[in-house]
Amino acid sequence: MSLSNKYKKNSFKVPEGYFENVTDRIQKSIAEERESVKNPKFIVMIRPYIAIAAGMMFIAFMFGQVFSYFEKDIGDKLTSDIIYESIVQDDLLIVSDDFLMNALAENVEVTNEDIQNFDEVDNYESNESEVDEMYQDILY
Amino acid sequence: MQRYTDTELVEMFNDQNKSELAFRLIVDYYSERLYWHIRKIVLGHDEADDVLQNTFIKAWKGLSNFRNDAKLFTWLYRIATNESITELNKIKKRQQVSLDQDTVLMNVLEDSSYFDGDEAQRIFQKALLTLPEKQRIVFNMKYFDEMKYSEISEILNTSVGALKASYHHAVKKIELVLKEN
Repeated sequence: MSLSNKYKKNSFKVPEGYFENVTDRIQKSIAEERESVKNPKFIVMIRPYIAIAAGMMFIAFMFGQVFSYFEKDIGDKLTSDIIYESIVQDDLLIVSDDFLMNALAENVEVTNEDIQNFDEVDNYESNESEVDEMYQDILY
Repeated sequence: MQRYTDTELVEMFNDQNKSELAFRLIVDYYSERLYWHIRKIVLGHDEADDVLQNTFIKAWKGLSNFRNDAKLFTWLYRIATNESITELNKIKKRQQVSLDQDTVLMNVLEDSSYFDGDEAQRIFQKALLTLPEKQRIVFNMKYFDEMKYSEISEILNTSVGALKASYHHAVKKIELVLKEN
């Protein structure tokens, strides 16, 4: 099975002198390519850094989303008992003075919104004697 | 003028002082043959010229990693084939919805500034355009370039058996079109 060889004749046209110049033109293209590799455009240079920054922002955003989800749960369940336990056990509790006093005195449930509304927050690291002192001021 | 082997050319290319000369020689040796392979796929001269440039730019970038376990020409041919297929896909995307890629390529055959064959050859080329892309490429390499199946197999990374079947089916289809016309 074979086709006639008459169709093998090359009938595609090429501009005159094309093959005489093609090597020079290709070498010129390569020289330009080499130059663009040596001196990349500014946007090409900073592209990887933009990608890294975008990735870090995404991670930070996702972390914030996860953190706020758990924080909401904890805030809703905060009661004066938990606050007291935290203080006694030397845990860090980020609340303001007024909030802490009110919570301890009134045995109220505190919400996330209460915590977020404080102007100032202090880290509390207390020991037992300090707690007794606080109770003395409130209760006696 | 001395003709260097592929191995010598690759060694020269890896020598910083001789790399430009080595690549110029590679272009001299292979550009015309690659051009015609590309031209028969994309049909238009301007497109073939672009693809040829892209082929050699890619070759220049990859030549330092080229291992002499394959022939240099086989490797260049493979790059040229892939770049030609990329160009055909670009032609598809560039055109309006009402025109498919085959219509665009057929229009090239009607343009006497690109093609000056007689009516029989025009019909023959149009018959080739009815073949699936890869089958047309196999046909071109076997029929026009008279390459061995083993060479085509290396370039296209396809088994000899599959190539023979592809070529056989291509010939059958073309004969049918020629009979109808």
